[in-house]
Amino acid sequence: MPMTVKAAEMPQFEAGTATDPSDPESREHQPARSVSAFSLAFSMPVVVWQALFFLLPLAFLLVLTLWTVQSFRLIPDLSAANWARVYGTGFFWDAYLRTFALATSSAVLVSTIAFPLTYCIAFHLSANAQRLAVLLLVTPFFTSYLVRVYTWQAFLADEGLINSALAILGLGPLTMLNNVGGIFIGYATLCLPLVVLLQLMSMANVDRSLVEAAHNLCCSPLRTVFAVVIPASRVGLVLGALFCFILTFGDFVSPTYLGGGNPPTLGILITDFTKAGNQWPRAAVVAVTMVITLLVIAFAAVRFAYKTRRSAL
Amino acid sequence: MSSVLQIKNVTKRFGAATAVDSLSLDVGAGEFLAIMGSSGSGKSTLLRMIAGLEQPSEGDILLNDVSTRGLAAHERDTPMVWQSLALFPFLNVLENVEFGLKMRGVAPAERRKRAMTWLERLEIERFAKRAITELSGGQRQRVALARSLVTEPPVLLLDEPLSALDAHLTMRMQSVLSGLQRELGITFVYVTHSHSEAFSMSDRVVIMSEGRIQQIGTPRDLYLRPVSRFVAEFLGANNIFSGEVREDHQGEKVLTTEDGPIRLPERAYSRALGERIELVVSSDRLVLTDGEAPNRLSGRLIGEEFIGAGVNLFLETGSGREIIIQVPQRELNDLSLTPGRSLTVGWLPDDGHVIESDDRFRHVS
Repeated sequence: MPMTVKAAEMPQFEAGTATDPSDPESREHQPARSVSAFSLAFSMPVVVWQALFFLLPLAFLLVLTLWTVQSFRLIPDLSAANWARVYGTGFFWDAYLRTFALATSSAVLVSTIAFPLTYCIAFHLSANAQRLAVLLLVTPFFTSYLVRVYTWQAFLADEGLINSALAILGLGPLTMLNNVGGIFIGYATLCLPLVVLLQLMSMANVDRSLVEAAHNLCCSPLRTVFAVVIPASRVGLVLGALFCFILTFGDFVSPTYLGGGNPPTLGILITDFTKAGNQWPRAAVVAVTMVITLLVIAFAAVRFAYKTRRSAL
Repeated sequence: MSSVLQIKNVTKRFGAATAVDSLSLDVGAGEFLAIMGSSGSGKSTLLRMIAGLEQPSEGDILLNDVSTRGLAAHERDTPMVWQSLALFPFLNVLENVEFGLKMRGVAPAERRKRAMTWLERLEIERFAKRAITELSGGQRQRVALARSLVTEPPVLLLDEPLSALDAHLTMRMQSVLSGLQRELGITFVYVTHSHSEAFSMSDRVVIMSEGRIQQIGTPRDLYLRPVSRFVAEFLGANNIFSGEVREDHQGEKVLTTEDGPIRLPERAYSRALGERIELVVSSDRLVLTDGEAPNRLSGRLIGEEFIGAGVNLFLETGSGREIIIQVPQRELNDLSLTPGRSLTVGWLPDDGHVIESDDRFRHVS
């Protein structure tokens, strides 16, 4: 069940961030000209792709929110009752705020942990070592995220590897599972390599003469990180945090298997709705709310990342 | 003249390669010093060592008589203007200029005032709130200058700052630079590969090659009295004759060449008979002649090159040697420049300049 939800969500996020902001805008700026059959033929795949994998599922999801469920059976309908019901409950808003807070703090936390690593790779490694580092950052993707989260259970459990080691030293046991700490470990497992790669994309391309110019103007190396490196690699830093937010906002695995599943996040809420009473329409209401939230966040983040300095003030 | 900058036996090695080789140099207060050399000559490395962006392998650099050994770049007051300008794209013009003051802890109101003064001085105050990307090349150049000068440093380092500009803008920036330098009395150390920039602005020019100073002197000195064949060829526009010192039938010292004897300047009369020397004659000291001249050479016209007010003519002598002669435009009006036409050039013996036969740079020509 959870996998169905994820599979439906993922392409939509990609479509939202990658195509929507750039495509229609760039076309608007071009002078009007007659549409040739040739250009039409070449733009068709984009349109078809968008329609098939973004608009159609989204439309279906929206329609589904208006259906009703009677005796565990889906009845096509045009009822706003699901929206009223879901938005009228306190636990939905609790879950929404909790999920939002978790995703936001994981974006901040994971970005903060990733930054020194990225900085080290970008500024202190040779070109060969950089390539090796990138290769190593890709290797976690060889294994399923679910498997990696299960592996953490073996480490973090009350009788797990870490607590057994601590017991030998006469320490512990520490509770590391079924709490927020467990969730963040899962989120870091999910996002850290990707966030480092995204940050690296920008930081490796920061003009070295900017860093030298800052030193030359009496800016100490530590201060240069904040005064030059961070603003100069803003695109990668923002995109890294954005992807971390997107991935964790919709994640079901870490909150369930490392966080204990209670109190629920929106991802867990969706599965709960579908399991209890076959409430697909209410699950769809939650899903649509999540899609809209992510679209807003993604648009805002991309706009902020690529904001060029204008003669403001 | 007191020294602002003293470079003492500085060597810089990168692995097995030596970029700067036990180089010593004194730069006076208020001096405009140009450092020239082809790429790989070590000129940029020298500049980077002064700025503290590289540390010397050996030797020391003194700023106002204080050793800079162990001082990091951010602990020195040696601002630099980069070839790429290295302006901060995420800051506007005013913030870029304020940067150095902010790092020194100058209060916001004060640093804004001082930055604005510099923007006015460089006539770009109306762009204060602009983004760097909204400026033209020349305007960016001025921002880079203002950013480096705002702290009123004793020395300003410039690393080929004009190389990205087009020709007429380069000329304008040259006059801006030399005007500023004279007005402020700040020492400029200016690295360039452009002859016109080095010769038009600087008090002294350093010619570097293979990490060493080949010659240092005023532009006029270098041009008229190069010490080696390398310098003479590097500065171009020179005719270099090599041969042995002999005495002609009138008892005057001459240089024997494949194109016949050439009379030496009186300064070179002390040279021993049979000594191998090289004689440099600047292209602008040669004149076209049809009659008598103490030194004469004939050749076929093989090419011409317009250089604004004058023309460089290229002749080939009987022995196949190429001679460059610089002729003012007005002299060309009644001269037909048919390729292959035979022309005779002449010059006064004292316009020749003798350099040692330098085997190190023999491979050239």
